[in-house]
Amino acid sequence: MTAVAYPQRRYDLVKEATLALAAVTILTLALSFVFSSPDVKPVTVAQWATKAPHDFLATAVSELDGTSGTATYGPPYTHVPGAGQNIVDHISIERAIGVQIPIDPARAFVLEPLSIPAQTSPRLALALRIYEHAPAAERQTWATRFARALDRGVFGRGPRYGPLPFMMASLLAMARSGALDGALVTTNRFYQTNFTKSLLFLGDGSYLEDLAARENLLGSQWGMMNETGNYPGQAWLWLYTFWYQVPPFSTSDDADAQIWAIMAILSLAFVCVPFIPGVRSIPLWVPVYRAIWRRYYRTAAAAAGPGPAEPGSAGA
Amino acid sequence: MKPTWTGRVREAAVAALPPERLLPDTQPIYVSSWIYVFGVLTLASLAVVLFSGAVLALAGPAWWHGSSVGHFFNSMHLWSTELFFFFMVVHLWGKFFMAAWRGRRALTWVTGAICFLLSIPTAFTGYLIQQNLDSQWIGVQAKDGLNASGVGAFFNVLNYGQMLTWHVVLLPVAVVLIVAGHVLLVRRRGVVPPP
Amino acid sequence: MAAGGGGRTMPGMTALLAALIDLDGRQRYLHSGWFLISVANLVVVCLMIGVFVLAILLPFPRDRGDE
Repeated sequence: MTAVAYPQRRYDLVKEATLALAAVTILTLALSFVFSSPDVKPVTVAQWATKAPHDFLATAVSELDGTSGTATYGPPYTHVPGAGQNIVDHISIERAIGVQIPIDPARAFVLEPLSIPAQTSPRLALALRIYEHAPAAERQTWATRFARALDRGVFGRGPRYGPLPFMMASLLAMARSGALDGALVTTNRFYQTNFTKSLLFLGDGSYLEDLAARENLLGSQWGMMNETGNYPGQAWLWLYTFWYQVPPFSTSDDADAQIWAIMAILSLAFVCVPFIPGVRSIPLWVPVYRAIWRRYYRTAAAAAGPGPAEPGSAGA
Repeated sequence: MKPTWTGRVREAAVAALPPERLLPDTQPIYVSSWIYVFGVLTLASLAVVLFSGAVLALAGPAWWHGSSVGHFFNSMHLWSTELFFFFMVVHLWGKFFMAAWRGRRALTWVTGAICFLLSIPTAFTGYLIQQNLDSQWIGVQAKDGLNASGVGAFFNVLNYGQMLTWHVVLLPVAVVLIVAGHVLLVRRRGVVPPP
Repeated sequence: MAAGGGGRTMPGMTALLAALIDLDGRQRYLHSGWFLISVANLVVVCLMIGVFVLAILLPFPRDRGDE
């Protein structure tokens, strides 16, 4: 379609922009006055340990025995052979890029934090020394037994659990005091802005997920679109979250990789609509344009041909 | 006088967008539908988003949790963002059904689509830096999708500092630049005529 | 519905700037099989469609210079 000069009408661009800005400002102010915005307090490790100590302890011991979400995640956090989602067959960008944010779950979430109170607790220091000097198989045995006891609702005590009972009790006390929250953010630098360890640890448990489920934020609840309370969320993410709800993606271990690949292709297609035969013809087949330009088709096309040539057609 | 770089840039800019095209006071008679106002409404919403965001940035990301004035500006930032996406999508629907890419306007569509796609991570990083339960859960969930695509190894949604700088600096600058390009293309090519 | 973490943050001096309509209450969702949408999002989507239709159908004011 070549650019053709059409008869012109009066148009005030600056006035239109000013009126639009005023209208949107008033609308925003009104919505803010009427509805405000949500602010559900974040979870702290202290709250987790206080309100769900069983879940906290089960998560902590899973970091030690290597069964936690983080421990089994693979790249970018941990070296786990074969871990990482496949887009198709055995093609995994995740594995190809590898571990870029290395986390040692046992050290990061249990041993290093406990080393802080151990500086003033000889008993804890001894427990940590016993644990760290024990053979890997023995450490694994202690952790597995402790985890099984927790599954039965029992806090394991006695020599068959090695130093774990005292370590876990100390970690629980440290968490409840709030000290573990700080310890998980601490590095060897003064200023801290990275909450990777804290959030991975919280995410390995069920407490945060249970709270999210109550707010309908889970993936299986179309959570990507939702906001806490009755606030509108991110409706524009409907197609991203839709795929997670339907087979085969709803039961696939590789759902994230597959869906993000699909969305990358669809996003590219969206950008390239003008170049895709068929898609670019939809407006012709579904003639909404006739309603949009009905006045023009009714009057201007019949009454006037192209007006005096002007450099381009100015417009809204 | 030998042409200067400045002179060449000025002449190219004026040739592409002479003042009467950059700031016209006429428009073709076929521009007579309310569907045409959604582009400027989207721009206006973006302006309110940027303003309210700037106010929030004045006192830092923790301010609004302890200040009712701060909470109000957070509300303005949220609702103007909702309005931004609302108007942008209606604008998108309108432009699609007008096949507004016709007449050498494909790049206008492309830049508009990129605006939409860039706005998504911009809003997403905003949710991540709220410092509330939403931020925690969105980060913990989103990391899986981003990790699966390889992006998460470098764009760590659990790294608050990184997400803060992406949301406040990098992504808004990118959005504003693409939006500016989009608007200048509309001015350059004019509004698409009816088929 | 139970709040997250420790509840909602509502600092002092909220009389003027607190919400007139509290959207933090019991969540309302529409659920049918695998389809689940919040009432809020549904309202937004319906408004978008409605506004789009109205924008096309509502007559645009004629300028004095128009034919």
